[in-house]
Amino acid sequence: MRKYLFFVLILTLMPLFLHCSKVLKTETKTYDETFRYTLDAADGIAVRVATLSKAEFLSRLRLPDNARITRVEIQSLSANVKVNPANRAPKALATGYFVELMDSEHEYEHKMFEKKEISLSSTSGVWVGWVPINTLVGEGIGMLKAKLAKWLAEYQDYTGEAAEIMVVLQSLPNNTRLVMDFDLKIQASIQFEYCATTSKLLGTGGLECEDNIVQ
Amino acid sequence: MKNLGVFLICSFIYLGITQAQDLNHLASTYEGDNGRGYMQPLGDCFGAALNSGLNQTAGISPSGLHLRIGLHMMTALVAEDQKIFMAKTQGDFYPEQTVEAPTVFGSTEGASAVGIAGTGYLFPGGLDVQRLPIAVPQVILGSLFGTEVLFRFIQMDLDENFKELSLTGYGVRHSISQYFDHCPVDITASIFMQKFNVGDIVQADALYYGLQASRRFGIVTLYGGLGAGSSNTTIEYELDSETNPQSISFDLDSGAALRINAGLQFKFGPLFIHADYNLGPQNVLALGCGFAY
Repeated sequence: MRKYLFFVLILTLMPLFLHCSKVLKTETKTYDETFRYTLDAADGIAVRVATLSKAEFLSRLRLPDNARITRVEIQSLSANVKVNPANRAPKALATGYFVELMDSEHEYEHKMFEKKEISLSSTSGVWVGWVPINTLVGEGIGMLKAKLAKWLAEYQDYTGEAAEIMVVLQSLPNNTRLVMDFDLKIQASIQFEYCATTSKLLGTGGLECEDNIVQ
Repeated sequence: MKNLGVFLICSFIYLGITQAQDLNHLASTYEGDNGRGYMQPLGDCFGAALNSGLNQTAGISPSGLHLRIGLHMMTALVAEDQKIFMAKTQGDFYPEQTVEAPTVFGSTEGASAVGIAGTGYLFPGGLDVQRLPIAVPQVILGSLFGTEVLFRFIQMDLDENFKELSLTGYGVRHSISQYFDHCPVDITASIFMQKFNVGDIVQADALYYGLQASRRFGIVTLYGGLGAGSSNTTIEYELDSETNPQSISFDLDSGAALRINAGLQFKFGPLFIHADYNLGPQNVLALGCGFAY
């Protein structure tokens, strides 16, 4: 009787033990990078540069070992300021550049945004909050995107490479002392594929894959 | 035999939990209304599945000890309109747009929106799920004055990510047909409440009440029911942002909805097997087997 029941139980439940398989899964991650610039410009013009290293960028992403990047998009740029009490300018214009470092002697500046007007009349010593930068320029956005995509294509290689993000701030009216902290946030979306185990019980589709996805 | 039963139960639950890790990953890229829209089908399917597979016969003797132990698998069938939702671009992306994007059950291919100056916004894909099965053990004990009590209970430690899984359900069934002479079918009324937790991520409450009818023909019992089921699932997760991590919590409320079901049970001595189909805002197929003494 016990053997009969055991057999019936297994037979009844056998369809439920559909095997697991590995299929290609797509996932999206959002990546934020904030660059801080501190300036004190008596003549009202300041140029500041911050560095984005490939190693730091990749280490913060934490992608699965078998991931393959399929798409990178620059989602938005935003600005935040903290005005110093010594500041005299009521407003400033900010222009940003993606600086491509060709070699130790050559670099090329690609404009990412231009003449973003920032109000500096609020209370000093306090961050005013993120404001979107909508005066974006396609050339610089495209070059930044291409650089990040190149780094992600080699995401297991943390060596070498860096890029610079340069900001030019000009007081309004001109020649007015500009003293503040300026933060620039770049937000990117990164889409990647990886192999994941799934159960056929869920009727999931997708391409079957091996653990090592060819880059 | 006991070890086999434990193994089967753990296998069923594990198959579901292997997908839960994917859910945590995917759900953490959404916030606010987008998160709710993305995950709502999960709440609907899970709640409907929990509220199914409860009754396989309306026949309850007026008195006498009997015990019914079974393992029931309820599979919610994902509808096509549960695979997409209208998602909004978030943050400082410009211009703000609303785009048709996959839900957690939708395509693994995400959606996208195009912004100014070559910017883009990517929405995550889903898990491409066609059906959501859950399996639970159930015990029915009766009867006293034509009344039975039902229990569902699982409690087990999972890995360090999910900590613990627990399901607790209890209800009562009462024979209505015992008050009528020569009733052609057995009729019962029942109410059942369940609570389900997976670690700190998912908490679900489900309530079902309704009427069931059945008629036995030898080893075959035809049964059906009309009832109302509701559920509320709370999802809590960490928003996956490098610079602004935050805890996100929202409720997936599947309001009370009418459900009807119809099925067959075969009984060979103490062994029974059954299958029924549940129609409602969310359709569910229930299968199960067990022993009745």
